[in-house]
Amino acid sequence: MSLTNLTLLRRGVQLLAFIFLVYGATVVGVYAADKVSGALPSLACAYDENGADYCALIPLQHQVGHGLGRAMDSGNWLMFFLPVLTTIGTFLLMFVVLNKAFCGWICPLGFFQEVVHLIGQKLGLRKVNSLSNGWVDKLRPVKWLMLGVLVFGLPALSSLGFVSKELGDPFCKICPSRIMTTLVNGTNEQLYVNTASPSYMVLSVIGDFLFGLMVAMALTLRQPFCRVCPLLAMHALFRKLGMARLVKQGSARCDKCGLCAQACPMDIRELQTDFNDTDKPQDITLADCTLCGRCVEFCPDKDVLQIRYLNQPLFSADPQYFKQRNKAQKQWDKITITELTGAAKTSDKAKPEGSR
Amino acid sequence: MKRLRPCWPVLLALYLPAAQAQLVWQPVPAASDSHGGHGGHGKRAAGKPFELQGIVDGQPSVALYQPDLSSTVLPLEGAQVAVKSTGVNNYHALVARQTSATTESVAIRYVYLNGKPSGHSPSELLAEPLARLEIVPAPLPREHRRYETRKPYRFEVRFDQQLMSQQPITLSTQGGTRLDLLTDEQGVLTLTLPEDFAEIKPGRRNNRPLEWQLTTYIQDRGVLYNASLSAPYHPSPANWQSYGLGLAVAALGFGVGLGVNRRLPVQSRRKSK
Repeated sequence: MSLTNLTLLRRGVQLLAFIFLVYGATVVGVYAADKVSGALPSLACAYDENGADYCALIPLQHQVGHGLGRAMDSGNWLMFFLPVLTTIGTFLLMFVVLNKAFCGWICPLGFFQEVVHLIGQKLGLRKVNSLSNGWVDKLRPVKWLMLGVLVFGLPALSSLGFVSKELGDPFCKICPSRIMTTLVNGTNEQLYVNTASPSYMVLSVIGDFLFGLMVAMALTLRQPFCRVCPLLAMHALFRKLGMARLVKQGSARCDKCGLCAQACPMDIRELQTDFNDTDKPQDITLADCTLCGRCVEFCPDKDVLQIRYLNQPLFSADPQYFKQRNKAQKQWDKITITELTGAAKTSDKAKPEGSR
Repeated sequence: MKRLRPCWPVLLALYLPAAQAQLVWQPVPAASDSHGGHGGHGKRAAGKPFELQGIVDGQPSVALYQPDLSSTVLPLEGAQVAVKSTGVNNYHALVARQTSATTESVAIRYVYLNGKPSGHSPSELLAEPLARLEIVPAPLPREHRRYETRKPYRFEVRFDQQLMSQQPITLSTQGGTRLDLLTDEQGVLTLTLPEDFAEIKPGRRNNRPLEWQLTTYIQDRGVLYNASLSAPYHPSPANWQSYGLGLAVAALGFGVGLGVNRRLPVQSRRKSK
């Protein structure tokens, strides 16, 4: 089994990013001023006291939730736009460097779901490689709803007094990363039902339920929460500014192959269907792409898919790499806990009586 | 443990240790106090009023320290001072100092002022010696956090920047608790604030915070050094948050997820030959 492939490199980066973002306060410090940015383009949660950085969504919700009403009252719109634009500017400073790879390579919740999926598959649970097109199409708009309603809409309405102040940061109240990052820090302080008011209760119940649902679904389906994550939508808004891109120069063979779309954990079928028979490479960093690179790994045709940085190829599809990668994947997929325990029992039974 | 109804002026006078002339900062409650809501947005122009209690003779000096370690002298009006936002940084140290030939009394309070980030961490402020004897949070509750009952917090007692082991410290709370404590061998006090609110309503914003204070003293070469640290504390959210129910709802979500997994519609992305 090859131990040098892009997925293993990505797993290593994800693990380091997870450790740093979830436990990194011991390195950077506990206070807001110590954090790397306060507007990270990944779900590193501010509720995790030991984290090294905050996700961009928490300041955005607070700035909209606190600032919009005050700006409207005072007529001083600078006090609203300045912090919001500072957050978006900080987000963009980082985002342009890695683009949507913040999802596929850095996000702690993305990595957590991949680990849960790995556990599910090694336990021999059902594997759903690709959701049906109908389900994918139904799920795709949800991330935009999450961004529009939970990150901007309700905080804005709360700030203007149309809804309760309790809805000032509704996405954080339901975000599974808040529960996951605190649980892995050994505390259950964020896994609660809040009985202080009906809206707090509803939000906390949704958050807990969503967390349980995400963990269970991740056992079978790849990246269940990523598909509806508002940060994925925010990335999609700015993806044309990123230096890292996924590009494709397809051929007529692509239509028959489909290995790239099958490898994609986000079920982006356009990887297979778009940009076939083009004269030059086309940017195919689509809204749901996390730049994980699996489609490139599993593309059997030379240079059809590439991850490029500043338009320079970083990693390209290659028939030889594909053969090794495909073989390694098949070997890896065969290894399950049930297989291992079954093999152990078989070998145990095969031993003569006296040798046990 | 005796519990007192939180009636501010009378109560503050009652729970102050009368034996020592100890300076202590206490907040001056405003008529429309937001019960410690969200860090005091909208109160920047007027400033946060604090009262210095325990003044014996003369006028103590008062200074406000920023995380960049710059300081501003604040005038005491009577025994009160209004702390206005400096516009930068969140945590500031409000320090009152009164000295005589035989005593040096210091009151420190870390005040949250909602300023813009300047790149300076509160840890710089905590590392800076503000007095010969001081009680230092290690660390302060992070931004958007606060002192709550039932949670442990750490404090260091430093004298001439040396950690003082087995140093006696007194905890007094507005809820009526008084405890005599000792720092450990490393000079650290680990303290869990008692749940001594007379009445707790569901929701943090529905409960006015109470005050706690830590006091300590050291006699050195004929001089008595007093130090106090004070801050507000809130009832634990565990009073209105059910962790058992939270686990049950997550388990329900997990169960539903397992059920959904069995029915997920699968599609092969590869076209059959």
